[in-house]
Amino acid sequence: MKAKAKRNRNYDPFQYAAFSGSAALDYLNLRKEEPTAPSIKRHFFPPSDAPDYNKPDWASEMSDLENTSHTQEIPEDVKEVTQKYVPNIISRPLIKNRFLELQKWEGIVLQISKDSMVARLIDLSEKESEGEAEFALDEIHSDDLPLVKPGAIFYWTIGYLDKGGQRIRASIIRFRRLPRWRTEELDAAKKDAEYTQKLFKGDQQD
Amino acid sequence: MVKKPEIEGMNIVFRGDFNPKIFQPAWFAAQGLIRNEEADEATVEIIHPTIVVFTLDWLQIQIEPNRFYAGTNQSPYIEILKDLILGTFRILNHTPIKMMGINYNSHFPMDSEDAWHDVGHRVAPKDMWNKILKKPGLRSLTMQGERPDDHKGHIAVRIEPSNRVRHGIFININDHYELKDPESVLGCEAIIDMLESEWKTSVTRSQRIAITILEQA
Repeated sequence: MKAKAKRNRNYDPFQYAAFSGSAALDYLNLRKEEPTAPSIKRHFFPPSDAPDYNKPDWASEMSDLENTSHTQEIPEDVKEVTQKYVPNIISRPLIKNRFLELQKWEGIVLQISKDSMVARLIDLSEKESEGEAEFALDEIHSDDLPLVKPGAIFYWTIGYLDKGGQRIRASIIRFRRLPRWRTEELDAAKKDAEYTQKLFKGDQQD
Repeated sequence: MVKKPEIEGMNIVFRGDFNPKIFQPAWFAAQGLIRNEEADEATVEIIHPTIVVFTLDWLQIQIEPNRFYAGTNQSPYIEILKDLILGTFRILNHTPIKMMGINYNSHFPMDSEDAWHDVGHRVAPKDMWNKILKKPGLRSLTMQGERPDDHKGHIAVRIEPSNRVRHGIFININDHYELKDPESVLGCEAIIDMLESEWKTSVTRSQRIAITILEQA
């Protein structure tokens, strides 16, 4: 048992020394002598240039993702606004659903027919195996149908959705959404293409 | 054998200068970054010059003048979250952003109450605390380390008992990036390029850190 504990202690990146060593006691003012290992002290006190959002902050408290266990610091101006308009905004989780993922793939659309699409799938688990599958277009959300084009990327996840006290077996397909090209970007690309074309034409004339 | 997390999500936090009122569901839909139906059904908590907060079924957005936060607690949407942020700041590319946190959150169920206590004892041994407190227990522990790459920043790991999963462990990993020369920042291209190039590495590394902690504890 002792050997096992020792082995774990050597391997564990969370070395016990940082908490059970003299640096910890010194920090608590329970022992007056200097810490025996200065390098431990460096790890015990955060560097002075640590960014301010490393500290607990009120936004984490609002997030359903977080553990909602801290007393958070709320900036005064924001506190005033939220207390005035949304008194309970900080205390409750905002995203209520949970999804227990079973498997996830990234897909690339290869072909589209009237009622279906064929896609190459890459398993996003550690196996990273590949395969092809055909999906009925009925499975795609109507808002995503304009995105279904050869080469489009989507994510397909299967699992259980816990919603409103029910566990539902779910398949979620979401297409990648990137910003639309703006007119000035299209114009700039066109100018670049024309310039390159002129260069090639010039080469041919020479 | 570590069980899969019951809740797993990511959030992305930027530090910079933002105009909160831009970031409304209708704006995201108009840019084609979320579905129209999602924008129509969004729950808007507050829209005010100093703060905007709204949620979709899978997304929470919160913007203050110096902070942008977007997160999901549903693993199918982790990649969608990243695409949403990339799309948003490819459009708003003049927004000055100096720091970024790619944060991973997970709630792992433990096999039993004993196994749950065991994790607490392993990551924070009570030898010292037993002399100081009566029945000490781990409430929260944060450990910070240097980055394993050339970027400026750090990686911090926080462990707590889960408040969402019975006998569960909550693990938060803050993968923090900073620009090397923030004073010269004019827009957000550098940070957004960093997000795009580092995303996969960051997610994989955070998931491995969480699993390693529970395997060793």
